[in-house]
Amino acid sequence: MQSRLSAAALGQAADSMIIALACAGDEGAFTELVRRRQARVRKFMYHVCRDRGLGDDLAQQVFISVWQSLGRLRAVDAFDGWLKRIMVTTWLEELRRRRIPTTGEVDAEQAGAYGERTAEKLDLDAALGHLAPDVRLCIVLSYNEGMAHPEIATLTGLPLGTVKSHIARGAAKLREWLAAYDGGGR
Amino acid sequence: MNQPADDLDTLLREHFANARPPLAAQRFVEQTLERIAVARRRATWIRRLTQAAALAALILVSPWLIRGSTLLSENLDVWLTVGTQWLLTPAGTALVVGCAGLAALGAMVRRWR
Repeated sequence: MQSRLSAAALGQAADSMIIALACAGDEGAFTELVRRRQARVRKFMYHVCRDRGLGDDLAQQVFISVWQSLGRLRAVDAFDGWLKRIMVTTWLEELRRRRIPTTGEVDAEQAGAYGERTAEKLDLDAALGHLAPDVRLCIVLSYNEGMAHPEIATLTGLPLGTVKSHIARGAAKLREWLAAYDGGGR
Repeated sequence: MNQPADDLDTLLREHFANARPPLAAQRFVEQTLERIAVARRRATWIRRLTQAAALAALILVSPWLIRGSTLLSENLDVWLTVGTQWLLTPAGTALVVGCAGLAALGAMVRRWR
């Protein structure tokens, strides 16, 4: 369905209006919705997958899923929570498709003796990349999306204790690696 | 939030807040809409193919469907009579009561959940 509003009007419309129009099949409103949410979805995907090309590809898959099921969304207010669920599901499906093990404290193969690699630029971004996917997902949901632990547990299907443990251990690992880098680099 | 506040918390929040996607927003939106257009065309084709296949299948099996409906209309009265008579026997009544009990139990379980 062609848009009922002009591009300028859509650009100034409130989020709830854009979502409601997109739910009703308005193509212009859906384009505006993609424009407004793309940065958030792409940042999330990049942080969890650590690959810019794959991150953008997964972000596009998220928007395709949104387009396919937007008509079934009942409440406009629920859109962002629903989008977050699609983002996490898309990432977990990608992990399953690639048969990447999701558990464990750290991606041992990649991490190696992290503290010894002081010649390399070892910043927080790289350190995050060495966490196991499940741990990284919990850290990203907590720090990037600002979600509480019970919300993360509900969204990921992981037990609450596991989520807490992933975040605590992940943060501890990051602290340890960054301290080792600071110590070794100086 | 349940995390203890320290330097790493601040560092992580700043890190996530400052991250920028590499591809310009407009290019990304265009690529996404192109992919959606492809997905839409594919869905339309699949729907049309499915409809055509269903129609072809209906045409193919129509002789059997006609024969079956004739058989059904000829024998329905007899089958219903025999079925009703069997349900009135002790075994039939027990089966009906058992099925009703199972259905009620299922409904109660669904309500409890």
